[in-house]
Amino acid sequence: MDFFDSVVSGFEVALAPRNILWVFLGALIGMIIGVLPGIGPVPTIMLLLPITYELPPDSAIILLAGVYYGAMYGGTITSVLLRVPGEAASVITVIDGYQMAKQGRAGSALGIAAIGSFIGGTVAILGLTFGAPVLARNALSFGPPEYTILALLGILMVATLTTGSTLKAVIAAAAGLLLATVGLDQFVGSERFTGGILELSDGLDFVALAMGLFGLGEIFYALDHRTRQTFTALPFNNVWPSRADIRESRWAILRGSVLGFGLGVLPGGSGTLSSMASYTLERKVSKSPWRFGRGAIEGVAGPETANNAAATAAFVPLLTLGIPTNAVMAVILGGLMLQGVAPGPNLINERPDIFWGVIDSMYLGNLLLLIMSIPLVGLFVKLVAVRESILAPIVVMVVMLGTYTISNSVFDMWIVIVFGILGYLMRKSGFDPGPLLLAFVLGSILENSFRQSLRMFSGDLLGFVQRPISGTLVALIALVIVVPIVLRLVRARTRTPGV
Amino acid sequence: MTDPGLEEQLRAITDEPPPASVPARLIAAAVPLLVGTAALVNSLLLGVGTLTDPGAGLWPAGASSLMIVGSVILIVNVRSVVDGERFSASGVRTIGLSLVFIAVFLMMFGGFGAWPGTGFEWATLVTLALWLKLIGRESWWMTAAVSVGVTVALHLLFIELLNAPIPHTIG
Repeated sequence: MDFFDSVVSGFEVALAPRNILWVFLGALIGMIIGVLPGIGPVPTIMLLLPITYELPPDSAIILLAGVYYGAMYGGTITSVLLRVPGEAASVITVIDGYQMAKQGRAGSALGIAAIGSFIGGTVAILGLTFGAPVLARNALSFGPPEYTILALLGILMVATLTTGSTLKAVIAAAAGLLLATVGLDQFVGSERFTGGILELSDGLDFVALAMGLFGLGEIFYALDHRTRQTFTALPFNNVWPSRADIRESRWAILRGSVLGFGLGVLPGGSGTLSSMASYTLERKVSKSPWRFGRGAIEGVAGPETANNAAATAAFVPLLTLGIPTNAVMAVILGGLMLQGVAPGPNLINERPDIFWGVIDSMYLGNLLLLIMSIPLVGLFVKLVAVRESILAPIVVMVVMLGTYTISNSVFDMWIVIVFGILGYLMRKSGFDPGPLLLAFVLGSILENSFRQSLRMFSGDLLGFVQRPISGTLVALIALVIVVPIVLRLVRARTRTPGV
Repeated sequence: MTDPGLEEQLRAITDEPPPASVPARLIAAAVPLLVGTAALVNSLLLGVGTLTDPGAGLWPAGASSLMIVGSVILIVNVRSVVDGERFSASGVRTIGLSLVFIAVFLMMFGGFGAWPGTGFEWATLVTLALWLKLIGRESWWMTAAVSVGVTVALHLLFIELLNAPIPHTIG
C-alpha cells in the first residue's frame, strides 16, 4: 500500500460513524477538563482507560488523543474570561488574554485562540502525516543499543526541559527507573525489591502507579489548595476576531505552529513549555514589546497555537518509536498496551488502521473543536462553578473503581493510595511526578536493551559510540548535559560585574 | 526558555503559596538519599555481575546511585534551590481525613479479615456521603443528592454498561 492509499484508508477508519462519535466525545471531554481547574488530561485519560478497555483499539486511542488536544482548547476560555487557567499550558494566555477581556476584546482573544489552535493543530497533523512514516522507516534499523540511548536521551531531555528544578526531575526519574525494576528479573529470574509480597512478583502495575500519582495525588494537592472563591466571568460579545486582529497575529500563529511542532516532538517539549517559549519569542520579535502584558493579541495567538501544535506533535515519537515524551503520552502508551498494541516502527505496517486512523481522526477532531469552541463558550464558563469539594470525591471513586476494573485486584487499589500520597508529597516538595512516570514506563525498555547491548558488545561500553545512530545520540546526550551547564556558567559570569 | 520577568508574572497568576522552609527542603532532599542508599545496598546484595554478564542488581544499582548523587547535590544546595510549598495544618487535616474515608471505602469494598465486604454500591454511597458532609461541608440535601446520584451513575456505567467484574450488591 503506498503513502496516499494508507492516508485514505486511515480516513475510512476515522470517518466510521462509531469513530466520529469517539472523536467528538474525546474532544468534548478534553474541552471540559481543560476548563475545569485542578483536573488535567493525565488523570482524565487514566479515568477513561477502563472504558477504552471495552473499545476496539482504534476507537480507544482516537478517544484518548481527542481528550489531550481538546484540553488544550478548553483551558483558554477560563484564562481569558476568568483569569483562571484551566490547565498548565494556558497559564501564559492569562497575561494578555485577561487584559484583552478587560478592554472589551474577549471575543477577539477567544476567536484568535480558537483559530490559532486550529491552524497549529492542523500544521502539526500535516507534520505527523508526512514526517512519521519517514521516521518509522528509519527506526526499523534500530537495535538494542539505539533504543538504550534513545530512551536515555528521552528521560534526560524530560528532566532538562522541565519547568521546575532539573536536579529534582533527575532524582524523580531515577526513582521511576528504580520502581520499574520491582518484580521478577527477566534475565536471571531473581526477585527484586518485592519484600516477599507475592502481588509484586509481576512488578508494579502501571495503571495503579499512574492513577495514584496523577489521579489521587492531584486530588490531594487540589484539596490542599482549595478555595471557596466564586468566579465572575468578564462579558463578551461575538467570538470572532476582526481583520485587524488576524493581520496582527498571523505571523505569531505561523511561528507558534513551527515552534510548537518542533518542541512537541522533543521529549519534555510539552504544551506548557511550547506556550511559554512562544510567548517569550513573540515578545522578543515584537516591534512594540511594551504592549505585552497589556492586551497584545500576539501574546494569545502564539502560545495557544504552539500548545496545540505541541500536543499533536508528541504523537510522532510515540507512534513511530514507541517512546512517550511526556506524562500524557506515557498514559496513552499504557492505553495502547492494555489493548495489546505495541507502538513502534512496526505499527505503521502491522496496524495501519490504528496508525493512520488515529492521525486522520485528528483532522476531524481539530475541525470539531474549532466549531464547538465558539458556540459553547457560555456553557464552559458555567462549568467552573462546579465546586472542587463535590468533584474531588467523585474523581476518587472513579479512580478506585477504574483501577479495580482493569486489574481485578484490591491490592492495586492500596498501591493507588500509596502513590497518591507520594504524588501529593512530591508536588508539595517541588518534585514533578511526570519524569517519575515517564522513567517508570521507559525503565524496562531501557534496562532490557541496555543488558542486551552489553551482551552484543561483550561488555565493551564503547560499542554504543561506534554505531552511527547510537553514536550520534550519545553526542546529543552530551549536548543535553553540557549545554545547560555552559549556559549557567555564562549567565553567572555576566551577572558578576568585573569578572 | 523563559525570562525571569515572565516567571514572576506566572507566579502571580497561579497564586503560588510561600516556599517550604529550609528544614522541610532538607527533609525532602534527605528522603531520596535514604531510599537510594537502601536500594543500592539491596542491589549490591542481588549481585551486579560483570559488564559481559550483568547481574540482577546492576541496573538498579545504577539508578539508585543516580538518586544518591542527585540528593547529595540537592542537600549541598538546599539554601539556593528555593521551591516546594509549606504544609498547612488545615491541608494536612483534610488530606488525613480523606485518606481515612478512602480506607473505609476499600475495607467496605473488598472486605476486612473474614468479612467479605459490601460490594461497591454501599461503599461508594457511604464514602461519598462522609466526604461531602465532613470535608466538603455541603448541605444535607446536596450530600444526599450527589451521593445517591453518583452511586446510581457509577452502577449504570460499570455494571450495566461496561459489565465490569466489580463486586456489587445490586443487579
